[in-house]
Amino acid sequence: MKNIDLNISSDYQIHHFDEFPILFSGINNTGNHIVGSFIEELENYNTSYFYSIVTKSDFNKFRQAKIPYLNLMNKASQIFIVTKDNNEEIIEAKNLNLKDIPKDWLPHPSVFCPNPEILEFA
Amino acid sequence: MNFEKLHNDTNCNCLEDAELNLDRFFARKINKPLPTDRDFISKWEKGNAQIEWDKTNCQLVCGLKGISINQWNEISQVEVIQKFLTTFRISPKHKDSILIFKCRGNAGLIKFTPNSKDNFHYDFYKSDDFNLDLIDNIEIISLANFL
Repeated sequence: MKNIDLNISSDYQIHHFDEFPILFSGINNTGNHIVGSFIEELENYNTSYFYSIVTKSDFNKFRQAKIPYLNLMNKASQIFIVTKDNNEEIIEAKNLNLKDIPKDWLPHPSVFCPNPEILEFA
Repeated sequence: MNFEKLHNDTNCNCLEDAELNLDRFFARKINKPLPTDRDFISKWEKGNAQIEWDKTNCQLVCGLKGISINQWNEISQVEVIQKFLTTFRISPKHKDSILIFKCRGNAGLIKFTPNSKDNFHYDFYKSDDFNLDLIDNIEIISLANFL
């Protein structure tokens, strides 16, 4: 499997913030569309996140609140659990399947993108 | 109240406009069943102080040194619950409950710090003597009750 750069380098948007970026999206430097969400704060105060690699079409639908976040994760080509340090730097990324993630870690099926985009994307 | 720990590594005066408030109710997300010391650790204490950035930006410094809380009353609680519930729906493994509390004695000072998405946001600055006995736990509300 090809390594994917998980650093979001453009079009970064935080859709919900609550002490941490809880739900966010953007594009990496090779054009992959990424939607991420906060999982938890770890014992050592590092933080963990889901990062889903999605198509441009699904990315846009998500930002326009046309598909729920869990649905987007189901359609993702790859999902990672990413660990970041206090400096928000990625220190670890584990690729895994959605079915291997405990259900009580996953977003509620009713979650759509808060504050969705109004305009259609090109 | 003494705040040497708060100010020993910054020239910013984080207590400007901060007040003693022993009457109002405030809310903070915690994990059941009870609050722990960890629930009242600031981002600065967690290690953000070590990060290379402009430490003359007092708004940022004091934001990291404060602990985010929300005013809790009849007017604020719908918006506050909605914010916490949105977080809980996205990140259910994170904190699952809301602690409603009041400060006792010399727990610390509180500053009104609203922003465009959080009209009832306050920063709580712990005094040097802060411990959980100085927090009066009024109620713990499970966010799962709202799903």
